[in-house]
Amino acid sequence: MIVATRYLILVLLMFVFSFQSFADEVLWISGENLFIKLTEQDKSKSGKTPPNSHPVELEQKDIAEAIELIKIWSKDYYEGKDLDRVFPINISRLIAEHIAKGLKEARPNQDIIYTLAGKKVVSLGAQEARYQTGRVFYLDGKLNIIIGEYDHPGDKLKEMVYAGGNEKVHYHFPMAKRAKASKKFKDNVVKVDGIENVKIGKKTRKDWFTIDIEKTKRVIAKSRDNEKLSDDELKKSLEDARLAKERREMRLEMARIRQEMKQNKNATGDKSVEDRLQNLKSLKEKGLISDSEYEIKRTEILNDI
Amino acid sequence: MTQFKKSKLATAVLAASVCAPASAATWSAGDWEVSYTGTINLFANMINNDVAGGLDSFHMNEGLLPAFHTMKAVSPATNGLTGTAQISFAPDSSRAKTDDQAKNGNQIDMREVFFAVDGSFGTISIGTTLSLFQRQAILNDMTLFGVGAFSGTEGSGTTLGRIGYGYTYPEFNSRMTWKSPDMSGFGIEVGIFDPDENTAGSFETDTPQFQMEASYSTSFDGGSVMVWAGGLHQEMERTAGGEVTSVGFNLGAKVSAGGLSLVGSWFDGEAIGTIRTLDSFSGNAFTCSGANCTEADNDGYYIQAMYNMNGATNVGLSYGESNQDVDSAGNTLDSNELTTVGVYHDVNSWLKLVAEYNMQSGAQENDHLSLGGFIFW
Repeated sequence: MIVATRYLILVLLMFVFSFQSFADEVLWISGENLFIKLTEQDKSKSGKTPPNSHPVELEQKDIAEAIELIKIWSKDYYEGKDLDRVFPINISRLIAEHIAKGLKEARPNQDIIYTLAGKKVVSLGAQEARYQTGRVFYLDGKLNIIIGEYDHPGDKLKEMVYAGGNEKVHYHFPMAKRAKASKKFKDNVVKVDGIENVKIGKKTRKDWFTIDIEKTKRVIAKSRDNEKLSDDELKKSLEDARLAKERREMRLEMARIRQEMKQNKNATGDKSVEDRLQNLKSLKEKGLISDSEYEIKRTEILNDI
Repeated sequence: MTQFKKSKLATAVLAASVCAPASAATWSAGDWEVSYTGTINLFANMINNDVAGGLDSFHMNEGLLPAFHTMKAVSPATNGLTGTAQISFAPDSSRAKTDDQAKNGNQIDMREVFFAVDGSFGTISIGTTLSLFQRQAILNDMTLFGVGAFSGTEGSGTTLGRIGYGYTYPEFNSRMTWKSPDMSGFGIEVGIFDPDENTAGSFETDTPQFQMEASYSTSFDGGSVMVWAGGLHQEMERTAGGEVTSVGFNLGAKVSAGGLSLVGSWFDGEAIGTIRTLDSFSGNAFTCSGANCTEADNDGYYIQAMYNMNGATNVGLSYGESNQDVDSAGNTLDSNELTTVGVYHDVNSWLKLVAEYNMQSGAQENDHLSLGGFIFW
C-alpha cells in the first residue's frame, strides 16, 4: 500500500509539473540546457505588462544583422579594433531564425525566452562554453531584447563529476526580466542608430535593448556603401602610389644621364688643354711669342684644369 | 558587413556550434573535439573518536571524490549520430598513515572507460561508469564535494560521503544502457549491468543485473524541480542450493528556488546492503542456511537543505541514515546515521574551498571537522 502510494505521488508530481512544459512551446532545443521557446509574458515592475504587438513578421536576416550590431564598448574602439559582440555570431543567427518563426506565432501575451551557449577562446586556442539567457518580444514597432544571465562559464567541477556518471548538469540560469535588471550584463555598448537602451524612470537599463529594424537596415546599407567607397578609394590610392613610383624612377634615371653627360664633358675639356699647351709651345719655338708671353699664357691654361 | 547566408546546412552548423555540452576547454582535432579535464582535492581532518576508550586522530585524506584525469573525445555529427569516448582515471592524493617509506597503498582507479552514441533514438552507452541506481542520490548530495563519513580514520582512498548513511553506492560498473531522448523534461535510462557476486560462499549469476532510472526536470520562474525514481534487480544462485534476489527502489526530489535548494532521497530494498550491493559494514545483506537464503531488508534516506549566499558560497545542512534489519549472524544492526554541516565556497572558476563538520554513528562513532579544497581544470 505504502509502495503504491509512493508510485502515485510520483505520477501526480510528473503530471502536475508537466503543465509547465506544455504551457511553453519549444521553438528549438538542444541537450538538457539550451532552448528557445515561447512562454507567458513576465510582469513589469508596475505589475501591469502591456500586451505585445504580436504576431508580427520580421525577416530573419534583418534580425540577425541588427543584433550583430550590438557590440560592447571598450578603448579598442578608438584604435579601430574589433569589439566583442553581445551576441556571438553563432548565437545571433540561431536566435534570429527562431525569433522570426516565433514572432509569427506568438500571441500578445507571450514572450520568447532563450538559454544559449557561445564558444569563447581561452588560452592555447582552447574554447570554452559561455551561457547566456534572454527575453525577446515586439512592442510598439520595436524589437525588444532583455539579457538575463551573461557569459556564465558553467560549473566545471560539477560537469566533470557528472560526466563521470554519464549525466549532464541541468542548469537553471536566471531568466531576463522586465521588472529587474540583469546582475551580469552591465556593459556599455557602442551607440548605433536604431538601437537604444530602455529608460525606466531615471534609470537606464543596460540589459534591455529596443531595436528599430528599419533604422538598423539603413545603418547596415550605409555601412555597405562605405565599404564599397573605401574599396574605390583604396584602388585610387594604389594607382597614385604606382604613378608616384614611376615618376621617382624617371627622375633617378634623368639624374643618372645628366651625371654621365657631365663626366663626358670633363673628359673632352682635359684634351683641349693639352692641345693648347702644344700650340703655345709651337708658337714660342717659332719665335712668334716671347718667353714672358709664353709663361703667362701657360699659367692661364694650366689654371683651367 | 558580411552578407547573411541562409541555408539549412548553415543553420545546422550554427546549431551544432551552440550545442555546448560542457564548459571544459576543448580543442579541435580534425573534425573531432577533444577535451582534458581534471581535479585534485585534499582535506585536513580532525577526528574526535566517540567510542569509549578510543583515541582522537588527525589524518590528511581526499574526500568523497578522488583526483580525476578525464580525457574525452567527441566525434563530428555523421548521419545524425554523434560519438563520445571517455577515459577517466583517479589517482589518490592521500595515503594510509601506516604506509612505509615505499609509499605503498597509493592507487590509481580506472573509474570510467566508456563510449556513447547519441542520435534521435536517444543515447546508447557501453563501458564502465557510474551506475543508475542511486545515481541522483549521490550527484545531489552536498558531501560529494566534501568528506561526509569515514569508513576508517587511518587509511587512504576516498571517504564515504553519505554512502551507507543515506544511500547505497552506485558503483562504477560495466554496463550497456539506453537513455531516451529528452521528452519535455522527462527521461528514462535502462541498462544491463555486470552482476555483483558475494565473495563469501559459492555463488554464481547467469543473468545480468538490471537497473533503471526515470527522471523529470522542469524550471519555473526563479527555480527548478527535479524528481527521480530508480530500480535494481539481480538474481544470484548458490552452489549449495538456494538463491538470493536483490531488489532496490529509490525515489528522490530536488527543489531549487531563490538560492535555496532542498533535496530528499529515499530507498528501500532487499539484499542490496548498506554500502554496496550484497555487502555492508557488519555482514552480508542476506543469510543462507542449507538451501534456504533469506534476504535482509535495507532502507535509508537523506534530507538536505542548501542556501546559495552570493552566487559563490553554498551553506548546507543534511541528515541521513541507512538501515539493515539483520546481518548474516542474525544480529539486528544499528542504523548508520550522519549529520553534516558544510560551507562550500567557489573562490573562482577553478578553485573551491570547503569546511565541513560531520557527526557519524553506527559502524563508526566519531565527529570530525574537515578543511580542504579542490582545484579543477
